[in-house]
Formats: sequence, structure tokens, C-alpha cells
Amino acid sequence: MDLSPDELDLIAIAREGEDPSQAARKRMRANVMTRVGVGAAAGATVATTTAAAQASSSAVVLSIGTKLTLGAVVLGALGGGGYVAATSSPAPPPLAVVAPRILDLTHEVDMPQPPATEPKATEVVQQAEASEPEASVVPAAPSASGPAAGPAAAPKSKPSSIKDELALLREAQQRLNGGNPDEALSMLEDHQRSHPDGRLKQERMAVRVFALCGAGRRAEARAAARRFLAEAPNSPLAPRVARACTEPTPESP
Amino acid sequence: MARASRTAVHSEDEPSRLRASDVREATRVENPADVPSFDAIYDQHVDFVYRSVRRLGVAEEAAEDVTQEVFITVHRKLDTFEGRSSLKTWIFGVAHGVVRNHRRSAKRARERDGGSTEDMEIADPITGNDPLRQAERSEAVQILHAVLDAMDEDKREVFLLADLEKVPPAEIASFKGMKLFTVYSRLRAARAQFKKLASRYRTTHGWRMS
Repeated sequence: MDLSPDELDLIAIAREGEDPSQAARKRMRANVMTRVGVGAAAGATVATTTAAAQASSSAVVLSIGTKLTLGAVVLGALGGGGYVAATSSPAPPPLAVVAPRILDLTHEVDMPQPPATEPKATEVVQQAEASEPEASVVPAAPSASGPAAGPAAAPKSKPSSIKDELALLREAQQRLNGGNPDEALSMLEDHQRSHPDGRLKQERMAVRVFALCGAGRRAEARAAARRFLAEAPNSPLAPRVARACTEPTPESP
Repeated sequence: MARASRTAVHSEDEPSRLRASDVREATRVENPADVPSFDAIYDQHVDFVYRSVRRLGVAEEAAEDVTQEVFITVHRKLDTFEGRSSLKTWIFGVAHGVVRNHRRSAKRARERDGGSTEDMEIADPITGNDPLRQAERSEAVQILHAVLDAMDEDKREVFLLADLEKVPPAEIASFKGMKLFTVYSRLRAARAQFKKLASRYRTTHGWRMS
């Protein structure tokens, strides 16, 4: 049994993003070499460093799978509360954190038919549970919860194609790069209309911040940046959004 | 530690594979003292270890620390490397062990902290100028890792080595102490499970990138 072209594609694209960054390489090398170099002579120092490293990492340790659950819960909750209830068991704590973000989200996005998908959400959960029992008995409990809940978390009436979304957003980015922020903004509105809860919503919001800056609409840009940062403070795009056409603290109006 | 003699046949266009094959070649010698220097091992395998650590379910924010722990352990245990498998798969074995320990302590920490999720999503500074390309990659990584996460551990291990890292099945067999036939049949089962999970993800999440 061979992998399909799609699956190979997925692996190949992921592969581009799987290696550590140059900065991470540098940090890791320096740390490891220090620790093995010093370690032979001064075990105590190494032990301390190790403990510190473990302490600092354990505070923020959560698996990719759990992260996915959060994303899944956000998507699911947009569709309807039924989904949240159905999938809350593997990771109850995220819900409390997610809830306020969802409220923000509904302010930010003008959603055409928000409640229409609610029954579907429940259906999907039930289907997934019925058809895929092994997902729930995977070892390594915390990380396994993500994917088990993940696929059930798309209570969208029609799954939005990430390819379409990317095409639209790329186009917007190109207009912006080409010095046409207004055109970019109008493309972003198109994206918002066609993919109100699209998977690249955060990217749309970020590009919109840059486009508003480019158009000289600084106040709006900062407001949009604030919304973005409130909603996705830990997004990979957050640092850039925070810096966009404002001083480091976009909170100040 | 003596530096191994480099005798492998090199292909011109694949410098990174070339080094890997060097080490494989080098590790087949009888004398276990003939493994490359730690520096060389580190440079050669750090990306592989980092990738593997993440594919085995370690969150991005912890991957650097765990990768470092792997190499500290490699450094400590290098003397016990007997050359029965390739150095790459031996390091993978070390990494797998460190990841298991890490999972246990991470789980304890989560329980202790009441499962706070405030810090669960981490910033990965944008390196390029194209947030969308970055998004596409992150997306693919997220999906791949989610699917890997849902796989059975024994299947995932073989799949990861064979299909993601292109480690020859015979090498996996000697690393795991399994019969070649068993490796193949497990790989078959692993691919089937990967396909099933990926397809389910695609259907429900609209993953149609091609």
C-alpha cells in the first residue's frame, strides 16, 4: 500500500516547516555544547541547568494534539454549543479560556448563518466516535485527545478549501506588496464574506492590519491589531501584527 | 572518541544524505570506538532529532529543550553504542526514550498546574516575508502531527522512520530487533492507519491542498 500524491504532498509541505529555525539551532548547539563540555567537570552545574530547562519547559508543555483541540474547539463552538459539550471530556480546561475568544470572534466576523450547523456538529461527533473507536484508545492520553476530537471539529456546512483561501489571501498580499492596499482590503473583505470562519481567518486578520497601515488608516489598523492580538495572542503572526504601524504597545489608542 | 574514517561513496547532489550515509557506513565497523565525534554527530542529526521529537508528539515550545536532552543523553550513552543498528536509528531510540519521559513529566506538570492552557500556543517568529506560505507550512505540520499523534505508537515509529525519514526497512529491522517481514507488515498497517486518519481529517477540515 503506497501513499497517495495528496498524502505525499502533505508530508512534503510539512517537511519544509519541521526543521528548527536557525536561531533555535544556534541556541540548542550552544546549550548542548556547554552542557557536555562543562558537564564532565562540573556535574552540579549541569544538573541545575537541566532542572531549570525542564521547569521552564514543563510550564508551557502541551502537545500539538492538545493545541489542535483548542483550534477544534474554537471552530466547533462557532458552529454550536452542542459540539463543545460533546467533546469537552478529553480536555476540559481549554473551554474556559476559549469562551471569551469566541465572543470576540463573533464581534469581529460578520457571520452569515452562524447557528445553521449546530445539528451537524453533534452528528459529526457521533459519527466519528462510532466509526473510529481506535482513536480513543491510543496511548499517550493527553496528546491523543487532539486528533480524536480534531476531525469532528468541523461543523461547517461545506468544508472551506484551504487552497481557495490561500489563493485569495495571496492575491490580497500581492496587491498590498504591489502598493495597492485598498485593493488588498477589498480582497480581504471578499475572503471574509466567502470564508467567514475559514481556516486562515487569523491570517486574513493579520494581512488586514498591514493593509490598513498601508492605506494610512492607522487608527483602524491599531483597532484591528488589538482585536487580532486579543483573539490570537500566541499566533505566529502576533509579533508582526503588534509591531505594525504602531509602537510596541498597540493597546494604547 | 576517534573520528571515523570517511569511506562512503558520495553522491554529488545530496550533501546531507551524503553525510548520513557516511555515518551509516562508519557505524558498521566492528569497533564501537570508531563512531564520529560528538560534534559531528550533533551537527549531522540535530534536525532529524528535532523533527522526530515533534513528530512523536512534543509541543513546539518544548521541542528545543527535549532535543537538547536527547543529545545530552546521546553524549552520556555513546560508549554503549555497539553498532548493531545505524547511529541514526540508535539516536532515534534515545530520542524516543527521552520523549516518553518528557511526556510523563509534562503530564504531571499539567495535572499540577490544573491544565492551564494560556501558554499552549506558542509564537514561532516569522522568518520569511510571506505569512501565507508560512501558514501553509504550519497548517501541513499541524495536520501531519495531528495524524501522527493519533496513530498507534508502534505503527507511528515505523512509519516515521520508513516513510518520513526514508530509513531502509532492513535498518529498522535491526534497530528494533524485528524480522524484516514484521517491519513490512507493520509499515503496511501504519500506512493504512495514516491514510484513514488523514482522509478523515481532510474530509472534516476541508484539507484540499494539492
